[in-house]
Amino acid sequence: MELIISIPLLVSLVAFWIPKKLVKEMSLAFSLTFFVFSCFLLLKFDVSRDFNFIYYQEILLEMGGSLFLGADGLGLLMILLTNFVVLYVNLMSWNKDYKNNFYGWVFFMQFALIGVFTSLNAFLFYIFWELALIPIYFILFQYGHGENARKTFVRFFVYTFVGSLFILAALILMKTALSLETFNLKTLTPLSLQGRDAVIFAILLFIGLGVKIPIFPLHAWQAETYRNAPAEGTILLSGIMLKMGLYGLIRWFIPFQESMSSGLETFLLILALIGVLYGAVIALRRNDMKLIAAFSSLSHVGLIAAGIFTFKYIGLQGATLQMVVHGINIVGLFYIIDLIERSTGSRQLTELGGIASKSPAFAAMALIIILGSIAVPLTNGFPGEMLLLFSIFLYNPILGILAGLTIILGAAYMLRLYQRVFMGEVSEKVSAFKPIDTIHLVALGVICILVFAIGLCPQWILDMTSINSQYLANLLEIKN
Amino acid sequence: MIAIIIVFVTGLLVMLSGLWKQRDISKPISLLGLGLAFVSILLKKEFALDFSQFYVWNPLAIMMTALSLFIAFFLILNYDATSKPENNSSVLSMLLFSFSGALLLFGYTHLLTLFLGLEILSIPLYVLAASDKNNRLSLEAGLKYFILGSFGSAFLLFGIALLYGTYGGFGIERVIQVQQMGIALPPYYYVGMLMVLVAIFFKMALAPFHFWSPDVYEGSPTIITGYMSTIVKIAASIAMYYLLNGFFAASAKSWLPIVIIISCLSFLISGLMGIVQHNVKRLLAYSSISHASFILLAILIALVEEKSKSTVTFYLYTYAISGLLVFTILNAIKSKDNLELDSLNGLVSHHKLAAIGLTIGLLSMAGIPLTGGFIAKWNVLSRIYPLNLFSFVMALLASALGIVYYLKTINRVCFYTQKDKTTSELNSSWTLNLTIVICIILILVLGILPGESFEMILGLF
Repeated sequence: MELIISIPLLVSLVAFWIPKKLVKEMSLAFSLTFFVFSCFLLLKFDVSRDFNFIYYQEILLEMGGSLFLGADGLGLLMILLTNFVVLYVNLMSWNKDYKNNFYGWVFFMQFALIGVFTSLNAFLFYIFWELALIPIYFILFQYGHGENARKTFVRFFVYTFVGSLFILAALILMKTALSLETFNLKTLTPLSLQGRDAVIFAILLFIGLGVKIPIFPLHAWQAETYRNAPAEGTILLSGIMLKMGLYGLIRWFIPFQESMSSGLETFLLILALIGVLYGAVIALRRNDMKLIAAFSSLSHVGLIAAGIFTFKYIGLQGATLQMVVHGINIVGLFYIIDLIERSTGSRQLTELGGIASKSPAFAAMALIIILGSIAVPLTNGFPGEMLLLFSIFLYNPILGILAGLTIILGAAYMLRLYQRVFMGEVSEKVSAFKPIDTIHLVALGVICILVFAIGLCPQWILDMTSINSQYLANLLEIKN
Repeated sequence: MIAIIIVFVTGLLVMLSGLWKQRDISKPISLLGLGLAFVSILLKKEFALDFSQFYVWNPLAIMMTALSLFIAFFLILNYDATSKPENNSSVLSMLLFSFSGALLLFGYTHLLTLFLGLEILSIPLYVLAASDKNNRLSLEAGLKYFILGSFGSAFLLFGIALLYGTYGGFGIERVIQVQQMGIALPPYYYVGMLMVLVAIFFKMALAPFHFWSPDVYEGSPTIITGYMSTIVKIAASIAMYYLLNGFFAASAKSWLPIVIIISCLSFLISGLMGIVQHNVKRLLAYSSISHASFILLAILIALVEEKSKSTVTFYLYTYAISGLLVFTILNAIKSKDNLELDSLNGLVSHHKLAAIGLTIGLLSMAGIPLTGGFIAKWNVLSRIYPLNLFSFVMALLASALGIVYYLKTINRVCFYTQKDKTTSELNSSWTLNLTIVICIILILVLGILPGESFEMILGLF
């Protein structure tokens, strides 16, 4: 495990210093091998044990921290997703001219993200959580574009930093209320907070995690930041940084909610659902493809969060599956948008049209990915979304129906995008469509294969996280 | 203990060395003297000097002396020598005299030693603040500091007089004796206590006694600002520590609300005012107000919890090292507009090491994980929460507001490009690079392995 986490860090340092000519090739080579390596880890994964690949060092003891790393099913899936996203970042930036520090920061981010997903100690988790902010900020600020980009990114950083201060407060509250010596997960889970402490802890942690996800009232930073970010930054943000928040919900929020009042639970669920519908409705009206994708992302993760808040086994399983699936699909989506922007110079629906006649292969793959994000059966979106909707419906039929609207709305805005951009007459901008490099087509092709593969056999993912979800659901049922 | 004498004598020698016009040896002599003092601490020998009535060489004094010697060494190492030897010798000798006053504050047991130390610390500093003859702001800074500082000293003296009236003596033993007798304290005791506290609040630049600080930081030559921000802050904090923990320990109920209110006010003011600043040194002045407030809370924690005494020393260590790092880099930047924020534009493309150093120093001050500053802030925050919720919330607020202005500065360093109006250059030299590297290593080590490294440092002394 220590290898898994330290190699990206070392590569990051290397990337900062090697000559610019080599850095692209090296990064791609490394991210590919690392991704394949992490796929091998899948084979070595032992489903029956709760945490694999454990690494434990006693540092930071006085603060209650320790270098306690380990991966269970959820963690390993997230590591895979991280490596996948980083690989695609490298693929996407293949034709672009980025300096060394871009790649250096990407790998540093990989290091911080793997740290977040494998920390089994709350203090360590917090350290990696805040650490992940720095590389993404540097990537965004240096390579972002657009008017007011700088202000947007500063706002993004401050917003997220304040959110992580809420998590800090929650951790300190927990430490004081339970007189903790250490923040290790194994020691923490049997304990539980009481009464008012529990409510405040839940709210603080919710706000802190909710900023990252983002959940409805705390989402203001998202749209503008996605729009002004470089494409690679956007897939880092939406592909994997989002998942940090959701992972935090499952790993660090849920185990301590045994005594949560059902009123609070319903409230959080409703907030998540508001996000679902809000994102979907706005996406229907936007003309900038990146914004459509950003709001669709808001909508989808709202659904995942809602599934988590139902506190049921099905909901948690659906959430985990959908986290992986959404990561893959959103990477594909933003990849497509970036390719279109590079080839035609525009992201506006009003200015595009008829790409299908220019590049049928590209259009076909785009259709597959879009269908995947709509959750059409046989694609990867379907099983996860179904599980989530089941779970919400079981919780409350009315909320379930409302959540189900997401399918209809999702289809609406996504197909609207597809029709305006790919179908119809060839617009002015598209007539000068530069052909897309094979490497990008191959990369998209791999995503399409994944869309179908996971759509047809999602069971292995569900099996990996089954123990964890079962354990959490049992914890919560005690009070239900 | 001998360290104070060594530093003072070095000061005298440096002053005299100015008479030798051929060569400028003030810097080497001062560095040698400081090094000698540092070695004297490492030797751990008792030098059979018993002034325990006035000054005691306890572990806190040892650690703080060691820290300040380290900081002063690098500050003087990076001092830009002017062409005239007599100017250099004056400045450096006054710096050393002021420093010996600071050393007196690290272990005082007698209220007059407090006064003596504070005066010896301050008076040369008034002159040093005004020592940049070409800069009008420097004269203004010196004058402001002198006038307000004299007020502060007057308050201190009057307060000490009232305390003498209460206790009938100045030393800590007399104070403890009287406290154990359990007599009801007369009203003028509280007045005296308040006046002494106000004087130290002034020195620490806590709100609402902070108004001198941005102007003086802005006007003074940058190395002197660095000295003020690190060593003077440390000295004032330790002075406060001994007051709250020793002389006023028995009347904790009376000063507790004052301390809480002052620290919360400082958090608020430093955060709000720091955001609107556009001069780097003023910005750092407001940031140091917020740090002083954290230190005040840490002192409070050390008083309440026995095993949390290291919170104060750890915070001072990380704060001082990051202050040293930031100010030595700022000192090397020759800016035309007295270090407005724009002077830092594009530093990363011109001088990578300085940019990295400045960024890490600012990140440590902001409290980003992996730096020592984060661990220090975590220590204070986690221990102040059970004691006082309001200051906990205000401290978090200060961190949130602080990140805005730290981010502003880091943006300039890392991303903005230089515009023609405010070109500034950085004089890179081996002394600067050495300082930067050492400070970065210390900050990262203190941030990643705080327990082990801090224990190692403690073990050295």
